[in-house]
Amino acid sequence: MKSCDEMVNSLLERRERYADEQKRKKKLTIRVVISVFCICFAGIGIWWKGGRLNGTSRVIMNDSVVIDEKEPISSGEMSEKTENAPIHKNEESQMTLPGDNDVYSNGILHDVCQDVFHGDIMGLVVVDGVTYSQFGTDTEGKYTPDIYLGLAGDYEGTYKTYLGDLTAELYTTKEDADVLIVKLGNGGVVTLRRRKELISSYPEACSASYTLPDKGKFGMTTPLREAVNEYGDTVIYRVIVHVFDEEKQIKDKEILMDEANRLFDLGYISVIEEFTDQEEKRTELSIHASSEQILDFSAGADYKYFLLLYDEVW
Amino acid sequence: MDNGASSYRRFLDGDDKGIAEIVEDYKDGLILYLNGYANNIFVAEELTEDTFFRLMVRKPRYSGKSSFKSWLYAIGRNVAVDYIRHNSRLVNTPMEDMENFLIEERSLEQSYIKEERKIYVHKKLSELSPDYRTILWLVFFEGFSNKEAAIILKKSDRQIKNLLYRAKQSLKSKLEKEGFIYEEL
Repeated sequence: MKSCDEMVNSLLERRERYADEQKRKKKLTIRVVISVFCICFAGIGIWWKGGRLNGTSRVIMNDSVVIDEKEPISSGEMSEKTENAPIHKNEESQMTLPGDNDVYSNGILHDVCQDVFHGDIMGLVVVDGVTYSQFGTDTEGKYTPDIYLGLAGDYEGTYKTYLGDLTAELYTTKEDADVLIVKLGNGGVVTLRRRKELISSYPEACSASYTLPDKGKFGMTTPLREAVNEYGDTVIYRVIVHVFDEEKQIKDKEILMDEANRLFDLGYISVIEEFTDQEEKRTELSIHASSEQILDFSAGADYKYFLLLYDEVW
Repeated sequence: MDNGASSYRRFLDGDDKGIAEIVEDYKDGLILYLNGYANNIFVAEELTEDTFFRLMVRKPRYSGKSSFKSWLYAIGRNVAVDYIRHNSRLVNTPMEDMENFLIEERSLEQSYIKEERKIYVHKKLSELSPDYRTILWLVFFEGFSNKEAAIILKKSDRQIKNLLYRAKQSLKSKLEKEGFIYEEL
């Protein structure tokens, strides 16, 4: 039997091996679907040119994107690689970035959101321990500034690092307690929404054996159901979607891409991941979804669907 | 006192000593609890390590609605159930290994339980059905309340009450056959 110290040392070694294995998988074969990047910057971005930020919005669709950690590609290549990738068009979608404990937090998605888009940086502030990230510009005056919180650059976040000489005043809004406004010195107004935690697991519940639903219907695992029951709409769920044709799970990448596009058009944030695990290729379709989107999951008529929390699969 | 919550918080903040404290506080009890599922003390030790490993890499959210210990034991139970599901075929243990298992189990039992009468009762637990064994271990040896046991086992309070009653009756009758009366039952 191991002593406490032996068990702790063994755990630390296992964790290191696990982290190395995760990095290896990501470096070799992960492709991150552009829709997730487009969600981060959906409709609107903060510009950074010569160290200044302004409030002009644009859709960032044609900048380079990192497919793996070492090789940024040109926009021409990107359009070829991503022609079938879901592209998010909604200008005011609620953007939710993976949380710090998420498997992506040290991987590509986090890096891209921070660095890759030629200096186009998304507005992000941390106020009293809560993170708010940009989701639009308030060109129509939808939100009314309420309480002045101070200068955005005085708070942790991207305004602290990237603001330059531009002023940026931070306010709460009267219409929504989860929305802040940044009034920029150049006249621009940026809206930031409270970032919800991303849930990938629910260890209090264990999986069981399940029966497949009928075509056009979906089922979900016990951990996912119990997580939704407990957390409701206070979090975003990272969910794997398994698609079945009769009794067999569909692993064809083209079909999964079609499903990803279908779900994307219905308002889901969908991600296709490809891994090579000991020479075997594997494709997984996942979504970042609210509790409502899960409970009213839009199953296609041709297939059967099963939803699992992301961590149940790995 | 259940210090696990603060140790876990410190671990989540980046202090690995937090997980070391959790291992120190909960390892032995968890091994003995999971032994009720695994019926093999070494497998129970591996499952215990897997439970701590799950905490370290998945960093599940501890909501504080139950005690840290019952939350941890619920995770351990899930790990054990997954193990049983994947290893459902019978495992033949050579006789020469059995003695070693028993020695290790008794040694852990003695250091964790520390009262001879309870040790004797714990020996008798192994003769009961898994459900009875589990509920008696949680309530009688670990000191969980009925409510906490209900959370770990995912049953209602009423189910726990009924199960506990039947388990006690079953254990009592076994002990009485050997002329042993344990008042706490």
